[in-house]
Amino acid sequence: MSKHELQKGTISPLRGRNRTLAFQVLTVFPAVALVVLVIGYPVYYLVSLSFTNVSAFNLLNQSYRWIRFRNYQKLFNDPIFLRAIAHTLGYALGTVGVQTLLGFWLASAVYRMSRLQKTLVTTLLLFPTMVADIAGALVWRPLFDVSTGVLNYFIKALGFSTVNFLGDPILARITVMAVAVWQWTPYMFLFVLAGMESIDTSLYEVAKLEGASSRVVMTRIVAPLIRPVLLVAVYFRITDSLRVFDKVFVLTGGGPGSATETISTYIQRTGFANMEYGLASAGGVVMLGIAFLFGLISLKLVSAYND
Amino acid sequence: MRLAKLRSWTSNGLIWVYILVTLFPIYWIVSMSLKPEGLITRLPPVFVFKPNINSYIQLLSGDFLPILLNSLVISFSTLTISLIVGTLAAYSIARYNTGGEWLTLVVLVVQMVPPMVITFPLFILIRRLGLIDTRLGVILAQLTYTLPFVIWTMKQFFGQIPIEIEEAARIDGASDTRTLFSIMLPIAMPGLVSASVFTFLRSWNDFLYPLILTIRKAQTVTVAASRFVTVQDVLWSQVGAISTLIIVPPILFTVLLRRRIVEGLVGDSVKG
Repeated sequence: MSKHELQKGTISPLRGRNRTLAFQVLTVFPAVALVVLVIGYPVYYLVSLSFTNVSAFNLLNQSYRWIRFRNYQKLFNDPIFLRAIAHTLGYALGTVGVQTLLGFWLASAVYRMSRLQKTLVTTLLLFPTMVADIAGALVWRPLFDVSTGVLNYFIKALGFSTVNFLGDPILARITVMAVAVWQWTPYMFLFVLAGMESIDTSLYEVAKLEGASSRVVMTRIVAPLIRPVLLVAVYFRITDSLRVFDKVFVLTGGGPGSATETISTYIQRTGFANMEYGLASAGGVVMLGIAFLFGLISLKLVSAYND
Repeated sequence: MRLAKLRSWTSNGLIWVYILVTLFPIYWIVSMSLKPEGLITRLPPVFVFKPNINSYIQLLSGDFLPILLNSLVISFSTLTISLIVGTLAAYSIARYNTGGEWLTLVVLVVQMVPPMVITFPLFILIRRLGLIDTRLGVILAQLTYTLPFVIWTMKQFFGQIPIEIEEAARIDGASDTRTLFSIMLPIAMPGLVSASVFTFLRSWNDFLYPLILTIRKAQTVTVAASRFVTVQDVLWSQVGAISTLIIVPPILFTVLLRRRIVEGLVGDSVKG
C-alpha cells in the first residue's frame, strides 16, 4: 500500500511526507528535549563528578582534583557502604517475599467473596499502597514511639516490657520492613487476584469436586499458572524496593547508628549532610549500576512473558 | 457443607481483621488530628472523644497554607505538562513510530534511573538555572520521572486502539491534529485518567525532590510534615492534621477511581 515500511499499528502518511514529519518532530521534541536535559545531563555530570574529589570545601576555591577511581575505592572499603548495600538487598528480597506470600493468602480469600464485598475489600486494602512511602512512614511513626506510642501501650498492658521499635538496631530493621510489607502487600494481592480471575473457572470447579483444600488450589493450580506474571510483578517490586528512601529517612534516618542505612540514605548523607559531592556521586553511579542490572532483568522477563 | 461454610466465614473474618489492622494507623492519625493536644498522648489511649478541628484551623491560618498551595500548584502543573507533552509524544511514537526503537528504548531506560541517583546533579542544574526554592524547579525535577511514565503508559494505550478507527477518520478527510483531538483522545480517556491519577499522586507524594530543591518558599506538604516530626517538641495534633491532609488525595482517588487504579497497577499483564 504505502512506500514506507508499515509497522503494526502505525499509519502511513497520507498527506505528504514533509507535513507528517513536521508533526512528528513537533510532538516529540518537547518530551525528548526535557528528558535529555533533565536526565541526560545530570547523569553525565554524575559520572564525571564521581571521578573527582569535589566537596563543599573545595568547590568555591576551585581546588578540587581529578582523582580517578579513588572514590570507588573509598566506597568499597567503607564497611557502612557495604552494609548499606547488603541491607538494601536484604530489605528488598525479604519484604517482597513476605508481600507475595501475604498477597497469595489475601487473594485466595477475597476471590471467593461476593462481588460487593470484593469491591469494598479491594478498595480498603488499597489504601496503604496508594498512600505511599512518605505518608506511610508518617502514619506509623507516632505508633512506634517508645513512651507515647499506642503499640507500646498495648504491649505494656499485656505485661511485656516496652519495645523500642525504632531505636533498637535489629528491631528497627524489622520495623522498617514491616512498614514496607504493610504498604505493598496489596499490590501483590492485586496481581494474584487478577491472575486467579483469568484462570478458567472450570479448573476451580474440578479442584473443588476432587475435594482439594484451598492451600492445594493455590500452590498446585494458581501458582504455576500465574508464575510468569507474578515473576514480573516480583521483579518490579524488588527493583522499586532497592530505591527506598522516604520511609527510612522519616522513620529512622538510617539509624540507630547505621543499622537501617540503605544505599539511598547513604548517598543522601554523604552528599547533602557531609557535602562530599564527589564521593556521593560515586555512590550514585554504583546505585545506578545496580538499578540498571535489576531493571534489565525485569525487561527480559516482561518480553519473555509477552512472547 | 457446614465445614465449608465455617471455613469461608473464618477466612472472611480474617480478611476483615487484616483490614482493621492495616487501616488502624490511618484511623489513628486522623483521630490524632481531631483531638485536643492533651488527649493525644494520654494513656490509656482515648478512642471515644469529641472531635474538634482546631489543629486544622491553626495550620491553615498559619504558615501552612502557602505550603499546601505549593503542593497543589506543583502537582497540578506537573500533571498538566506531563499529560500534554507526554500524550503528544506517545501518540507520535505509537502511530508514526517517531524516533524508532531508539526513542522507545530511551523512554524505557530513563525510567530505570532511581531518583536518588540524579539528586545531586539535578540540584546543581536547578541551581544554575536559578530555580532553587521555586515551584518551577520542583516541577522540572518531577518531570524527569512523570514524563517518561506518561509517554510509556499512553504509548501502550494508543497501541491497543485499532487502527481502523483512525483510517476511517482519514478517509473522511480529517487532518492529523483533528484526528488526534476529536477521535483519539475520547477513546483514550480511560488511559488518560489512569495516567493522570498516578502522575498526580507521584508528584503529590514526592518527598525527595522537594526536600533537596526547596528551602522555605516552595516547600511542599510532604517536606513540612517531616520537619514537624523530627523536631523535639512535637505538636502531635498538627502532625496528625498535616498527615491527614497528605493522605486525602490518594484515598479520595482510590475510592472514586478504584477500577482505573487497579488497571493502572496491574497493567494489562494479565489478560482477562
